[in-house]
Formats: sequence, structure tokens, C-alpha cells
Amino acid sequence: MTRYVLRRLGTSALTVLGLVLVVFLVTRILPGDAAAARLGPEATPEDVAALRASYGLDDPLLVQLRDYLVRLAQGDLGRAVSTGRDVGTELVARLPATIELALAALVVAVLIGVPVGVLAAAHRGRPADVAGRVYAVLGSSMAPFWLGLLLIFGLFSTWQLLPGPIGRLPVGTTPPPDVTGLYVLDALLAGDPATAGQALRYLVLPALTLGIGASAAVVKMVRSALIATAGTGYVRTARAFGVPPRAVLWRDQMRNAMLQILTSLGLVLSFLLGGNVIVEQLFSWPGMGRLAYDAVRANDLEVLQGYAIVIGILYIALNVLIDLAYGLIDPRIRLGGARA
Amino acid sequence: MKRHLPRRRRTSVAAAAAVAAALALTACGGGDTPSDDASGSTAAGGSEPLVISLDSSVDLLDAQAWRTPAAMVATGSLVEQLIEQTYDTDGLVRTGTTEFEGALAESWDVSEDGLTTTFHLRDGLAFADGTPLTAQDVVWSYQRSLLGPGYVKALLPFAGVASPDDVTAPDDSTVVVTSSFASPLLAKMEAMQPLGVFSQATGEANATDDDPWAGAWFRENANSSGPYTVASYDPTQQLVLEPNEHYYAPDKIANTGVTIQFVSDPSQRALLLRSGELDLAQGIPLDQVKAMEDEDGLTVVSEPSNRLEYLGFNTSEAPFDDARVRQAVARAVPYQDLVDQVLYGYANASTGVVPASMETHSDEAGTFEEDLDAAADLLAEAGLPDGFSSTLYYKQSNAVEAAAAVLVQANLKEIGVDIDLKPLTDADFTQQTNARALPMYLNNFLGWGADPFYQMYYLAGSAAGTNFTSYANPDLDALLQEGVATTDEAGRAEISAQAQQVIYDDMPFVPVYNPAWTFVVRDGVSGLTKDNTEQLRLQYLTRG
Repeated sequence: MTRYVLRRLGTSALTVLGLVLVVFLVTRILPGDAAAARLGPEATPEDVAALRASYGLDDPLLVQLRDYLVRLAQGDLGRAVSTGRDVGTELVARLPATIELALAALVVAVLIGVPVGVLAAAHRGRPADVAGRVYAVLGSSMAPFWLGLLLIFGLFSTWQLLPGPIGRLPVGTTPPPDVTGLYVLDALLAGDPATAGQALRYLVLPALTLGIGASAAVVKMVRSALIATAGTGYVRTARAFGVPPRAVLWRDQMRNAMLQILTSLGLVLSFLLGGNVIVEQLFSWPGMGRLAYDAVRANDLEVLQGYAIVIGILYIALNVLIDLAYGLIDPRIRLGGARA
Repeated sequence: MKRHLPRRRRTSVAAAAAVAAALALTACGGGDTPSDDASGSTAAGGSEPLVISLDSSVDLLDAQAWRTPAAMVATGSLVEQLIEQTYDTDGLVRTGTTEFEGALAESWDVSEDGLTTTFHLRDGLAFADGTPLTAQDVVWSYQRSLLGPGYVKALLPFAGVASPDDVTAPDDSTVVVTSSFASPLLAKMEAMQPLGVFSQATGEANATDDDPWAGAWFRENANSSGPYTVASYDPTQQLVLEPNEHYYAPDKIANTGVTIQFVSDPSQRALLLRSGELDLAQGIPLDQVKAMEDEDGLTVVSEPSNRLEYLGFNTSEAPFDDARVRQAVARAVPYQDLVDQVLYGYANASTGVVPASMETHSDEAGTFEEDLDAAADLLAEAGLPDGFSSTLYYKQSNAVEAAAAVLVQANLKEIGVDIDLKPLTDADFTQQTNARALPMYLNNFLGWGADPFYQMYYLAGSAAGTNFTSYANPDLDALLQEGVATTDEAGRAEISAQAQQVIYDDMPFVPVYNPAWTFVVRDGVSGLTKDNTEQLRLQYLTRG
């Protein structure tokens, strides 16, 4: 097991390095000069040249790469050209908001996706299945931006059920003391259910927007995983022994499909972490996605680079965790014991 | 002279009463800081801080280095200048005049030749941290504007103050500013926030070898000399401003604080205003603003503006190197349709490079009227009877420009000119215009201080960084330099008229319209203050 973990971490490190290289090269190939944009029309060419030089933008590519890797190894993601702020600090400050939103969206996706998927699989080919599949197609083809607008229009603007797209808490509310950065959790830890409730209310709309889209993927995946188990010997045997279909579904099929479902949930979560740029923008959610959006508008490649690397590392880390979880969920899998 | 746009002010009487009540109350309050005694002022209804959302977020807090319009507003309330302009009040709106009164300076004298201004500071001035504010801080701030991290270093030299040695402090309460020529523009600049006062001690305490003017510290922090201090600032979420208890004139702060909420999507801003979560919003899509005129609880405030939307050319490349081609395009612009259909009436059609609402505007230079026949004739005269093709660029983020571009394209097609439309990201647009790489583009400009010579120089002067047209005319440069250094009104008007004529004849860009200064507020909100640079001065905002 330890050997497996080490090997897995080793390959992850290589993946991260590859990611850094790709991100570095892509951001260097993209056109645009944030230095000129930052300084504006009144700047003299000397000012622009000085700013470019201070960011090392004039050095040869290999020198830039070496400097970048050295800085990165020290945990330094550079300074934003457009604002002069430290990219790492900025991203870390926004990370909890993004994580809170992604987790809430995952909960939404699971709460909707798992029951609908199970229902569709259990009634394969019948109306419930068709309905489930239609939902999956609609859910995955609806742009989050549009869905968000519809939800804001209905639940906030028309019926006033939920607060508007103005961030994580009502204006003037003091955020709970910082422990995890997740407002709902921190407020509960601080024994402040009122603030936790507020934070939860503000979380619902963006989480629904993101989660509904993701739930479509969960439906498809739960359905196909369960259907794949339906033809297996143990299901036939259980049925032959007269075990009620429902019990077979939940006890045997579900447990065996769990591995696949868990893998895909991991993928869904990484998608949610990286894919909420537009949703954060729409809901004025102060997460990393919003920072990335502003960076695109300002041609700020330093920030985009940092964003891509942080999201990439999160993605890789999630995948490692999922791999490690395999062994816990399914005892048949002996991690690292692949000697036979 | 003043032209009013259609607007609705159903609550103006109530609002005026509320303002009066609020002013009376703050006057009675004397030196009390409103934030310390929020419950005491409930009678005026203004006890809760206001929540507003502007057309951008506040990118940083340095009054000399900001980039977004909202940051100009925000930083304007974190520094105080030596002098400030006086205001004319009309209903909910207070408009800056060209008269000035003392702010940090109690009084000032100008030498007979107009070249030396001596400011006498008030007694007992202090920064927000309680440390005294002296003439040395003023000198340091002026020097920072010339040498420091910001891009405002072009400002003072244009008004004749180019060297850091031109600003001195003979003693703790006296500041002497020497200029190489006398210009009414200098006072206008001295009343603007980039020349507000920073604390030298704070700056020096936070300076580093690489950053001698503490650019990094002032990006995120302030030791305010202005009406507010920063209670909290999150560049992606909000800036919370609280009254500065060391401000020299507490009675000039009409509210108990202002929160600027950064709502990135303009339509969401409109929803939040309707639901009462915002007291004031800017940058709402104009079709929605139009609809809001009829909505209960909301008031649309719209005033004429000097902001100029223009259609720029690259005058160094064919076909726009020929003034007749540029004149032809100018006659093909659907001026009134743009105002009616794209801006829903929240604009004035073009009246020239110096708009009708700016001093020394001249009607003599020439008019801006759509005349496709004349346009076609001019093209033929220029040897292009069959037209030509080109590309018109605009900012992706600007929905109004996108719609305007379509109308311009359609009209140009009528005279045989084929135009491709191409949106660019803001940064890309800035970069490409800086490089003078675009043949035709829509852009807008707001001249600081509402000064005609500043306006013309920065749009058409050959050395101006914001002249993206490559147009260079030494005669015009000389005329503008003479104008900015002329102090008598008749002389200014005459030189200005001549310069307007030159620019009209050469038409390096087409002035298209002046978008109005437009806000939507909850009923009862008043004291919207528009200074000479059309910035909102937050301390005068009240909610009845």
C-alpha cells in the first residue's frame, strides 16, 4: 500500500510538472500584453519596457521558464500584472469560496442525480427511464449562464424566495471567523446559526445553477453503471434465489457500481471546481473563477497561469484521493499488490 | 443653455425635504462622527450606510494609480485636495462649477503674474490615523504624482507644473505651487483627487527600495485625508467606506458610510436595485433604465455629460489619410438614430469635439448631420467613387458600442463602404489603440476638469498618449498650447473656436454622441454630486 501511494504521488508530481509546462507555454503563445494595458495610454514606452522587464517578459523563453519553475518551487505564483497583487495570495484567498460553491453544487448534483439515475436504471426502457434520459440531455445541454438567469429570474426576482446574486452574504454582514473559509461551516463552528443560515441561502442559487448541470452527468453515469451490473452473474444468482429486485439493486448492484460512481463523482467535483468561471461571474461570487474572468479581460497571463495551475493541481490531487479510496471501498482491489 | 434630458423625478419634493432635514441634522451634530452615533440620526432616515454598485469594480485604492472608473470614485473619497469646486444644486443632483473654495487650504493667493499660488492650510488638519497633516505631506503628494507609480504624471505638466521642485513648503502650513505659465486648468486639477493629499510618513514607512512611493501599500490601504476611511476591502466583492473621524469638515459627510458592492453583471445590478438591496446603481443596460422610469420606488437621474463617444481613424494609412474620406464617414454617421435607438435617449447627439455643455463650445466649426449624398460626393472627390472596405473595432464589454457599430456599418454600406465589425477584449483594445494599429474604432473619452484645451489636446494633440489617430498638426498643437496658457475668457473662447475649426476640417475622428451621466436610485436617495470630471462624490449622497 505504502509503495503504491508513493508511486502514485510520484506520477502525480510528473503530471503536475507537465501541466506547468503546458500552461507556461500556452500563456506565452497567447497574444496580448498586460503591461501596456496596465499602464494605459499615458505611459511612455520606457515605462512599459520597465514594467515588462520587472516581470521578466523580455527574457528568452527558457530563462523565463527556469525562473518560473524556481519561483513556483518556492510556492511563488508571481504578481498580477494588472493589479500588482501576489497571485498565490489572491488565489488562496478566493479558494474557499470556490470550494464551498463546488461542494454545495456536488451535493445538489448527487441529491438529484443519484435518485434519478437509480430510477432510470431500475425501470430501464420504461417511461421513468425515458424521463431520466431526457433530463440528462436537457441538463447537460443547458448553458449554466442561461440556467442561472432563469433561476435568478424565478426564485429571486419573481417569487423572492432566495436572495439575489450579490455574493456570499447580505451586504453589511460580517463574515464568520475564518477557520476553513467555508462560510456555512465556519458560522456553525462559531455557534452562529443565523449567519450560517444566511450563507446557506446565498449559496443555494449558484449551487443549483452549477449542480443541475452536473447532475445530468451523474444521472447518466449512475444509470449506466447500474445497468452494467444488471447482466452480471451475482445479480442473476441473487434474482434466481428469489431476492427481491429492490434489495438486489441497492445491496448488490449499487455496491458494485459504487466504484465507478465514485470515480465519476470525483471528475464531476473537479469539473465543478474549474468550471464555475461564468457562474461566479453571474452571481458576483468572490471565488477563483471570478479572478480568472477579470484576468482574461485584462490579458493578465500571470493570474491565468496561476489559476490553471491551482485548478490543475486540485484536479490531480482529487484523482489521487479517488484512487486511494478504491482500496477502502472495494476490498478486492489491493493497491500495490499487482504482482500476480 | 443647460439642456436637460427627459427624466422623471416623482419624489423631488420629498427628496429635497429629506436633504434639508439631513443637512440640518448633521449641522446640529457638529463634530460628532456619524458612525459613532448611528441610532441618533434615525429621524432623518439616513442612519444606515448606503449600498451602491457602479459600472466597474474598484481595482485598487491609490488615488494616483487606479484604472477602473469606480476606483476613481472610491479613491476620491480617501484623499482630500487643497481646494474643491463649488456645486449648483438642482433637485437630486449637485453639479460642479468652475468656482473653487478651500478644502484643506483655508485660503490661497495667486501672484500678479498668475504663476505662483500660495496655499494656507487650515489649523489642526489630520490624517485618519490621527497624525497631523502638514504642508510637507502636500509637497510629497504632488511629487508622488509626478514621479510615483501612477500614470497621472502627465497631468500637472500640461498645466505648467513639470518639476518636483515647483511645489514647496516654506513652513508647515504653507504650500507654494509655481507654474511656468498661468492657466485656469491648474486650479481644476488641484481640485481633483489625483492631487489629493497622501501621508508622507505612512508612505515612507511602507516604502521599499524597489517601491519608493509605497505603491504596493497604497494599492490595498489608505491613511485617508478625505471624508472616508476603508472599513474593509475585497477587490472581488466590496469596498466598505466609513466616515473619517479626522476629516476637516464632518458636516460635509451627509451619510453614515457607503458600501460599494461589485456586481459584475449589469442586469443583476438592475435586479438588486429593484429588490432594494442597492440604493444606487450605475451601468444598467439603457433599455432597462428606460423601463425603470415607470417603476414605483425607483428614480432615474440623467444629466448631460461631456463624455465623448467618437469614431476614430488611423490617419496615417489609406484610405483614412485623406481628410475627405474622414469627412465622408462623418456625414454617414446616423447621429440621431444612435441617440434614439441605441442610447434610448440617454445621450446628446454630437455637437463637436468640445461638447455644447463644455465652456468655449463653438457652433461655428460645423455641424454633425447625417447626409449620405454629401458623403458619397466626398468619397468620389477623394477618388473612391466605389467605396472601400475596412474594419471597425470596439470593446466587447461595451454593449452600447456594439449596437452603435451595427448602425454605422449599415449607413456606410449605403455609400459603398463595406465595414467588418470586430469586438476586442478591453485589454486587447487598449493595447491595439496604444499601438495605433486599428483603422477604425469606437472609443470614448472624458476630459479631466471639463477643460476644452485639455479635451482637444488629449484627443488630437500630436504628443498626447490618448490621441490614437496618428493625427499630428503642429499648428493645432501651438494653438492648444497658447489656449491652455490664456487666462482671459474672450481670448480662450477665440482660440478654442479656432482649434475646433481645425479639428472639424481635418476630422481625425468623428465625435458621435455624448452619453448622459446616468444613475438609477431608490426613491429618496439624493445628493448625487457630479464634479468637473463627472465623478460621483460619495460624501454628499443621502437617503431620505
